[in-house]
Amino acid sequence: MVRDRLLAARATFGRWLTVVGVLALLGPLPHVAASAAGGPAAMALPLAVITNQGSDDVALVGLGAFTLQARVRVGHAPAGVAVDTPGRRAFISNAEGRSVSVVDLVGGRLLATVELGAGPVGIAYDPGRQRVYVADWYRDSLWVLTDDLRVLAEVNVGRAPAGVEVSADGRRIYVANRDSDSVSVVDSESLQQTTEVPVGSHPFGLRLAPDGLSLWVTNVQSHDVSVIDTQSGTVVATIGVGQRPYCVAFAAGRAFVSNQYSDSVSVIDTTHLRVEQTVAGIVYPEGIDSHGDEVLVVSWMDEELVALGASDLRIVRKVSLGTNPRGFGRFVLAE
Amino acid sequence: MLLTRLFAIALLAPAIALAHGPTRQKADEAIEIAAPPDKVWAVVKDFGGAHKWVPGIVDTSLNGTTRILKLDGGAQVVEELEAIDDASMSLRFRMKDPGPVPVNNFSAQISVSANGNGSVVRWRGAFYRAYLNNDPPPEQNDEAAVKAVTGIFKGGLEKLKKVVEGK
Repeated sequence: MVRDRLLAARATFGRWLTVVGVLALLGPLPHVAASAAGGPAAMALPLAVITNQGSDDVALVGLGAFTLQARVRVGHAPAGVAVDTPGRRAFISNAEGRSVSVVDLVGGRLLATVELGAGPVGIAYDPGRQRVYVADWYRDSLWVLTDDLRVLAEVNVGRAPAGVEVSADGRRIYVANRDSDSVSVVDSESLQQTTEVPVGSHPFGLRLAPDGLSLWVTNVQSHDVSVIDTQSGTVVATIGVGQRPYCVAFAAGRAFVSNQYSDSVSVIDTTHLRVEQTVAGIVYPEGIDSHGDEVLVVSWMDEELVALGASDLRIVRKVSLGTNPRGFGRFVLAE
Repeated sequence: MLLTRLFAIALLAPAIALAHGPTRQKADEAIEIAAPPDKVWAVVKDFGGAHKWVPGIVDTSLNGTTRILKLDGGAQVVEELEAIDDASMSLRFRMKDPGPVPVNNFSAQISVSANGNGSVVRWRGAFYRAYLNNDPPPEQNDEAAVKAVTGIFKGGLEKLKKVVEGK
């Protein structure tokens, strides 16, 4: 299966080369880290895929043993990550490389990197339509790509778009427009922005609640979270959190918000929409996601992935990452 | 063979690869000081006394939690104290106005901890380069920002060591 996937990837390689101009490569290369056993080996699942913006690679962390399994070189200054669970791949936005990479999570290797736009940041994947959506910070747009990274469309959104999220049915794409203080709702059929929802000041990250009924948006300048009712498309609550909230994840009926400048994670009761507790001691927390009863938080400053118990709110374990890790997006590949 | 050649081409094409979008940068410096942590912390915690140990600052004026650093040459930097904790001997602040320092959104934390009979002081900062669009001029790029901040941290810690050790 791995071999088939690689062969398929190789077959499309020539097309990428001619169509878009390829920056990077395919197959077992010197910059692809070998596994601890000595050669490329299958990654153990579940896995966290964390972008190391300062070392131009992604860290693959096995969540069972909570160990670093491999580091895979991607493009320059990777920030965003979107995991393709059925395809066992991760799509990576390389903010400064102006490119997008795709990483094979079974073999732990880079499949390809293609140039894209002026400043790719947030990235999301729709497994139903097999599409990759990428926010372009400098072009004020959302790129729509096939899963082999061919451009289907470029959709105008608000200014300085950052986070991207796709509804479970794939019909809507949500984009946080940092400099427009809004969230764009894009229709996946017409590939047009249908609505723009005003939120707090400088929205950056966003995440749909597990039931899909609400969309949570972190506002880095107003230090709060806007909760949007996805049916009505209106903000139903604004919840004050710590300084510079970056992104949101959900577990155990709670929302967890990483507060970059407060070195903390705000824990929000999603029923009563209020902050229950604040977990301190995670320095410059950024990317956040969950797996089972654990919340996984990237500490940009300490360069670690920190696992927090979603119920007892204790820091359970930590593992070292690469330089200046971000992990912006959904980064957990479950089994 | 083809792959090898492509890899070489990729390495030879920095014009595209070095194009920039804004990426947060980090500086992280530490120094060992032959003095007890209490004694070191007493100097570090004095938010209005930065000129006593950070080179290039001729005077500090403190108003509440805001300080104005008057620099050698007349420029100034404005900083805000965000948190200070005697128990953990750490403080955190951010620049409201970076003045001539080529950064944006600068925040930093300084902590003092025990190290045998002495102390270790760690100064860490997070910031963006001065130029927030793509393709910055060299004096406003990531490297310029990291170099400037690292220089301030190193110079500050070295002078702090001299001041506290009385040398």
